[in-house]
Amino acid sequence: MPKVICLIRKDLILIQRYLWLILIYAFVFSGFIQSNDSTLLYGLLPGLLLILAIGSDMRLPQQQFLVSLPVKRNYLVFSKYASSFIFLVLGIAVCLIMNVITDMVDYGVLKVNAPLVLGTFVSMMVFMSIYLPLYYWLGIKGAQYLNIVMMVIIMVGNGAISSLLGSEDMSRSLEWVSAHAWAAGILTASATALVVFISYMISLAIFRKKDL
Amino acid sequence: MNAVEVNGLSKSYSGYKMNDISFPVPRGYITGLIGPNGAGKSTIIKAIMGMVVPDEGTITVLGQNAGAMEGMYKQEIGYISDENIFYEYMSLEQMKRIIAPFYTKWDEDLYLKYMDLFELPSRKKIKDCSKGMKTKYSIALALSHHPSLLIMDEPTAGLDPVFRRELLDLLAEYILEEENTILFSTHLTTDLDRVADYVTFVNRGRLIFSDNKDEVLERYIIIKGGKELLDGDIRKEMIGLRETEVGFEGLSGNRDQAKTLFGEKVIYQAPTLEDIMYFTAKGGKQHA
Repeated sequence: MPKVICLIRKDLILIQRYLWLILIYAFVFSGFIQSNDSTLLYGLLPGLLLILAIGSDMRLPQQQFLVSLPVKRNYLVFSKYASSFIFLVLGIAVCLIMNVITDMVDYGVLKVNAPLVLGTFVSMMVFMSIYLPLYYWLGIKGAQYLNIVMMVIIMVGNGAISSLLGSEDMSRSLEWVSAHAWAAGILTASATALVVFISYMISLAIFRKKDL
Repeated sequence: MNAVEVNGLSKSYSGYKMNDISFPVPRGYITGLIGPNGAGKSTIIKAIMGMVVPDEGTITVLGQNAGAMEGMYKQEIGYISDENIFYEYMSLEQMKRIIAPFYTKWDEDLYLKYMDLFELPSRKKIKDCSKGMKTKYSIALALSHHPSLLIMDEPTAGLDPVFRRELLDLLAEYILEEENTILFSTHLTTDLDRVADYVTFVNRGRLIFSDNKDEVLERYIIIKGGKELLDGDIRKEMIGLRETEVGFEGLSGNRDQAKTLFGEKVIYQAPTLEDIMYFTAKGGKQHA
């Protein structure tokens, strides 16, 4: 089995202990109890999943364990990004499924709020790109504070982005985006990929020199 | 051929410096890495395992470059840490399921044999295991992928005497395979008196010696005599000295020279590794 796959598999095994927490959270903040398209669901669940997945390896002994395996350090960093991406997609997928189910129950129609899903995906990719280098840099002690700060940023940021999207200036920009959907899509995807790549290089540079 | 070659290893932390350490770990033998707490044993082992990034120096393991950015050489290493590095909340079986796919030579039957031999319950969580059980589990995992090099960082610390003996017997059995090598760090030198072939001694980040154990024990000598024999030149000859009201006890690193100096006026005694470590670490001017 390729080593990166083994590492991702390891992250999937580690997250299993949080499965009930994630499902309860997804239900409580879904349209069954909150309003549909709740920012507490879309905004927090993928981020929560990401933090839980990454946090499993945060302690020094676990980092020592990972480095003791027959795997290069750059694979360890790469796999963390790959796992984070998978958890992020899974988190958004859970939100989407919950919303589709509640819409079907409440209105009998199947609708997907594409801008919200895409917006959440892009903002979570940026969040991941900021979080991972800080995680490698600060280690467990700093990361305890980092998690709190990041969760606040997700909540506040989500609200700020929502109000920004609702503003008049932004509506003109969104009209331009709608008119040039492909160009906007490619631009956003390229910018996101660039941010993730830079983030990966920074994380790798930090972890290469780290004593465990 | 050497299983491990450490060349010019240097590493600085705040308040600690390891300087230009070089030594081989001969293939097919048990090498003990000894030194007092804080001497640098764990740093050396972690550098070999790629956990610590050296400031200078190179390390090769079984002919392959080792270090922080390498990985494949660890296929041949069975590593036993001095503390639990596994996920505490997992069961022994779950942890094994994570580790096994990383090793190309993983042997499930052998793993089950060791689990049975050590009477380890697969379903038990790691956090609920005793120190001895955790060490046994580490050994089971480390040996189950047929490593040709076993690296152990203080494996006997905190273990009861019965299991310590069993562990040493296990190591003796493992080393029977001609190609297998053990590097074993400890401050409990009595373990090495029993099983080690070579000894590498580090103190305060410096290499004191790295040699065949029997030759080391033949080279050093303990001298016991009256205080009147001690003068400046004699003190200089001693690696370590312990003075009492009535006499002194010291360690010399040159048996022949010591006998020339003292003749029949003192009592000579063969040192243990612990004696060598004690006197070297403490140095001169120890008063009891």
